[in-house]
Amino acid sequence: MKPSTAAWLLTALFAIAISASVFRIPIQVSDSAEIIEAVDRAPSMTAAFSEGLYASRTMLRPMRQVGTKILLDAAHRIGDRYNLVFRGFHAATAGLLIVLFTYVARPHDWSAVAALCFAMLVLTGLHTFTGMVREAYPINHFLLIAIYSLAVFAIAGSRRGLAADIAACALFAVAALTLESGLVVLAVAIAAHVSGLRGISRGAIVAMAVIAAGYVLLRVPVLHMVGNAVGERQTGFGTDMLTTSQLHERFGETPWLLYAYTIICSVLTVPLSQPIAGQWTALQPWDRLAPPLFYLNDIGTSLAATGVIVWYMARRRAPDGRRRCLDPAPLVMLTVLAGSALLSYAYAKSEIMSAAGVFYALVVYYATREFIEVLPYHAGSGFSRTIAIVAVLFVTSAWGWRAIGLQYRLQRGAFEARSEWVLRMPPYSSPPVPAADMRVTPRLQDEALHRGRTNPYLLWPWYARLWGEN
Amino acid sequence: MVREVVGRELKLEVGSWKLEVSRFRVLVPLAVALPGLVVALLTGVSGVGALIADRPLVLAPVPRNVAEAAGNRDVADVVVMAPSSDMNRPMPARIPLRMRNEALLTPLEAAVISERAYMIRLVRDHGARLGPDQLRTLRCIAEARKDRGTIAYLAGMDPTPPSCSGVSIPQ
Repeated sequence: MKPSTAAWLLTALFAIAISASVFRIPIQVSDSAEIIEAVDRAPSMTAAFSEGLYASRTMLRPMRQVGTKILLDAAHRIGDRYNLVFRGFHAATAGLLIVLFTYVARPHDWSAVAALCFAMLVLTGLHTFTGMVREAYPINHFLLIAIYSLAVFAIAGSRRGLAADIAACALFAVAALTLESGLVVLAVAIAAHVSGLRGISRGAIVAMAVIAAGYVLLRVPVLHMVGNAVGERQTGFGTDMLTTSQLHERFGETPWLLYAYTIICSVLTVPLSQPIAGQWTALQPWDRLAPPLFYLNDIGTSLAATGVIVWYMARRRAPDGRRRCLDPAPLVMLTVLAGSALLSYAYAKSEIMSAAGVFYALVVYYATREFIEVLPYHAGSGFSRTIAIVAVLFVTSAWGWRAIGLQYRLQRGAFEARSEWVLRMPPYSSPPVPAADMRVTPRLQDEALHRGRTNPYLLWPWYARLWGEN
Repeated sequence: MVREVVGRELKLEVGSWKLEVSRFRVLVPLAVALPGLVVALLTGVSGVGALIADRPLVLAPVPRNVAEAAGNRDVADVVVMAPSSDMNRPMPARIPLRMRNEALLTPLEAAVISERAYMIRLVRDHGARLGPDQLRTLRCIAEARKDRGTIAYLAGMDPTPPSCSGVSIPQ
């Protein structure tokens, strides 16, 4: 078997594993049913787009409405099969991200395949990945932004041409109008160009900058939108999660303090797995009867992977002596990390850092590939070689445990989403939309209740402590 | 002679720790790849099961009956199973979070053991009858579990202190 064939088989297995679990999660009541009902009332795609333009004073995300409208129309055409279309789309995009990852990594020898095995564990085991696959709004736009970023990076590494330039510009425009985090797609293109990739021409990068300027014009002078301010959403500070009123009280006069803290914490969360949404959860007092042991594994494995990355980025390339940190993948990772952190200045959220998490895993791949090549030359005696093998196996197995934990959290997500269709509906709660406006909701509820059966409470209770619940 | 033998033995012992460079070159990528391969196979095959039959092979157990669903906070399965189940019959139920062993429970008893008041209401809404004797049993179970939510919910139906002598409490 060729190494590249083995790599694609491995990719297929990971893609199936993630996609299948994502597909089992029903459409959620929260953040989904209301949007689906609102978009269903829009008479056309254009109407959905313009509705998205004016939906909020701080968020410009009209492509979210357009995407929802496209999927709704598709669901109507095949007999109102909403779960099949929406969840199928989410599952397909989750699989696409994994396929794109391998496409960008291009593993051609056995060392690279081994590194890919490990990088896949890092990609899917990292906490920033969970947000892309567990939630849907009803389309997970954080996942889409990660795909657009990776796709633009792949285009940057391709042969130069008009098609590449047009694709990069189109992806950036769509990303920017899908989510504010979509602006990092421009940062990906610029960083890739600076690092020497020429698949996207300088002219196309100028065109993308013009699109970015147009985006700012649309936001500020045309739509009179404002940025997020202190206290619009809860966020973590120290070991606490602060409510909006607590944020107003503590940072109303000194918002810059909260912004600086949140940006720094967002940068740290990818390489350290802490803090989570600005909150140093691992430093909170532990429940002695139910200790959250997963923190130890999360932080320990992240430190090990980050250590390998730091070692790799400090090395020099043989041909020109340039430091590895100026290579395309590391430079893009640092740029996306910084860009995403800046965009999350007002509140921290793991999902906002998900694209940075994908590039982090990509750099882990390159670093591990080099580590496999270099280690035999530096592991001195037979005893130290044995210790090295045990240490490597220990770290990779611990990442394997984290990756399986994603499956646990996805099954838990399916259980909770399904339960919502009882507990957040009449007679137990008020409905997500008034009964008179419900066109799609009864069918969504019916579909959710009759699929994706699973119950994490029937499992060994310690799993929740070893993997975490969210 | 003795020195030679001891020397040789020591050498052999140290030699057993030795890992040849050529073998090390093979073992390093293997140690890096092995956990990833195992996770890929395990979750990939499980994923195929999920796609074909909506049943993943790992980490996705389902309740066997409505009492087990009620005991494990599974509101959706209670709603789905209730029309085809006898909501007043005791059934064997596993509730790993609350009980060490499987027990024979009615859906209402399991709902109290789940320590979720909404589950008691849901089970009643779906056909479980609650007479004075059953209420006493449920209140005694709630008292034994010291769960304030279910105690308060059941006390709302009968505020007099329950007499629990002779009531068997599932452990």
